[in-house]
Amino acid sequence: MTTRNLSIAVGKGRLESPILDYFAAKQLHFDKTKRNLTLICKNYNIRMLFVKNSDLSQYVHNGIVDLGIAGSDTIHESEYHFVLLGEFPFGKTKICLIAKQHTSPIESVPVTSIASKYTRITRDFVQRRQLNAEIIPLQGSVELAPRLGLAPYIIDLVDTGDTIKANNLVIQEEIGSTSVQLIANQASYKLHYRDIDKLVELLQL
Amino acid sequence: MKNYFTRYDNYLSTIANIQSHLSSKGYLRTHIPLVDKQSNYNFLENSLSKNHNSGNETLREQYVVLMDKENKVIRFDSTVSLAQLLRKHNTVLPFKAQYANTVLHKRGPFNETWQLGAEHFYSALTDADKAFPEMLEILCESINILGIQDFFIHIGYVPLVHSLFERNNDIIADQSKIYAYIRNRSFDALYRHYGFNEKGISIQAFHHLFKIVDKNTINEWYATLNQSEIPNYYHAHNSLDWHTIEKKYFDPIRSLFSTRLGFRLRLDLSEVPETSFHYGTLFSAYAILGTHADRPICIARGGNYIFDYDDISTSANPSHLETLKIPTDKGSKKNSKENSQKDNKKPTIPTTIAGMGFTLYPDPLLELTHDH
Repeated sequence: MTTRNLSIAVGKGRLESPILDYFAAKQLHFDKTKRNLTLICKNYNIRMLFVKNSDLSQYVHNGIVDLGIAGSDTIHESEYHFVLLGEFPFGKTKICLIAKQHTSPIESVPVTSIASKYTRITRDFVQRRQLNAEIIPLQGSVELAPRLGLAPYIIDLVDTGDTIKANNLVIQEEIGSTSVQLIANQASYKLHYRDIDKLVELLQL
Repeated sequence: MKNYFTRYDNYLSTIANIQSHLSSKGYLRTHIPLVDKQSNYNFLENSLSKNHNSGNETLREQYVVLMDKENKVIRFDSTVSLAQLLRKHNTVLPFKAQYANTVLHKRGPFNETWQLGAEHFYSALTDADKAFPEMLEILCESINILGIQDFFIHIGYVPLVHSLFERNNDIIADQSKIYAYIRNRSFDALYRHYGFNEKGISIQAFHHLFKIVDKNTINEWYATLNQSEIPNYYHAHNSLDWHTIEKKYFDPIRSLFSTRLGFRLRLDLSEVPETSFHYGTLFSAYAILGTHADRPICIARGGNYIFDYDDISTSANPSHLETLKIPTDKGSKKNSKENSQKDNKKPTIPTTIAGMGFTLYPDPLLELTHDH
C-alpha cells in the first residue's frame, strides 16, 4: 500500500474542459486526443475516468475509483459520506427557489409543492423553513414545472439566469450555492492518504 | 452455480471459525431478534437526526413492517438489540457476548449484510475503555481468520476531539456542523467555522492535530504539537494546563501504539462519529480486497459506547423480548461458568450499559472474490 496509481472520476459534460485545463495549469498533462473514457496522465501516477455525472458518486462510494470531481450538489444528493479534499476555483453556481412572476412568497402559502432534481436539498429546505410542501422529483427541464402547472415553485441551479428569463420565471430566493469539489472514497483515503495528500498539494486546492 | 454455493459454504465455514474463536475467548453466542419494535430505536433516531436537517435518519435505513398496534422493523443493528436483551434479563455486568447474523439496510452496497461481532458490556465507561487492547487483539485475529493479512486500524479518540470544542465542560451547541466537517476531513472549513484563527491557533497547527499518524510518526507528531499554539489554546480557552491534557488525552493514545499490535494502528481523529452514545476510543479497519477489482473497503468498525437503559427500552419490560433467550454456548463452558459466578457475586442491576465492541462486515470478502 505505498505508491499507487490514483484514479479520478470526472462527470462528462460542462466540467470536462475546465478540469483538464486546471490540471494542465498544474503541470499534469493528459492525452486529450484519444476518444477514450479513460485518460492516463503523461507525467504523474493518475488516470481520469469520464462517467455520467449522476453515477459519479456510486463509483467513488463503492471504491471503484479513489477520487472524484463533482459539484457539491451531486455530492450532497448522493447521501454518501466522502472525504472532501478541496474546492476548485471554477464552476460555482447558485441554488435558487424559483417561481413564475407575481407568485406569493413560499412562506405565505399554507400548502404547496416544489419540483426539483435536487430532492435532498429541497427536503432540507422544507424542513429548515418548516414548510408544508410536497416535493416532486424531476429528472430534467425543471423550469417547465411552473409553466405547465405541475408545481408553483422549483429549486434549481442558476448559472447565468438565461434559462429562467426565457421561461418567464424569477428567482424568489437564493437558498445556497454549489462548488466543484475533489472528493475521495473514505476507505481509499485512509489507505492511501500520503499519495492523495501529495496530489492535493500539487493541485493547490 | 455450484461454484457459487461452494464458495458460500466456505464463507459460512469462515464465519463459524470466527465464532469458535470468539467463544474460546469467552464471548457467548447470542441470538438477536429478526423483528423488533420500531420504537426501540427512537433514541438512535434522536441521536442521529439532531445532526441532520431532514431527520428520519433511521427511517431511511430501516425496513418497516406496518402493524396495527405498533410498527416493527427488520433487524438492522445488533449491538442495541443485544443491550436490550441484557436489560430484559437483568444481566449482571461485565458480560461478554458475540453475534453473527444478517441485518437489512436500505442504503449501502448490500441490502442484506452480515454482521459478526463481539461486545464486552460493562456498567462503567472507564472499564469499557480498558477493554480496548483485548478487543484490538481479537479483532486482528478475526480479520486474519477472514483471510485478510494486510489491513490498518484507524483510531479516533472522542475525548480529545471534544476537548477542543468544550468550554468549561460544556460542549458547544453547534455540534452537527463540527462533526460533519471532521468526518469529511474539511479542516479548513472547520477552522474558519469555529474561528480558530481568533483563538490563536494557526491553520498549520490545526491541520497537524488532525494528521493521520502511525507508530513511526506518533512521537514526532506529538513533539510538533507540543511546540505549536495548541497548549496555549487549552490554557487560555479551557483553563487547562498542558500537562493535564497530555496525561488525560495523549498518554492513552501513545500507550496504544506501544502494544504488540501498535504497528497496525493509526491515529485518525476523523474517525470520531456524530452519534452521542459513542465515547472514548473508536476505530475502523480498512483493507484492499478483490481478486479482479482492487477495492478499498472498511471491514470492521467498533469502539466504546454508553446507553442509558431508559433510552434503549421504550417500556420497562419490552414484550418482544419475551420469546428471546441467550443460548448457552457449548464451546465455552468454562467462560459461561465464569459469567454465572460473577452473576452470583454481584447481583446489582445497573442503570447504564457501557461497552467496547466491534462489528466485522465479512460480505465484501464474499462479493469481491466472485468470479466475474
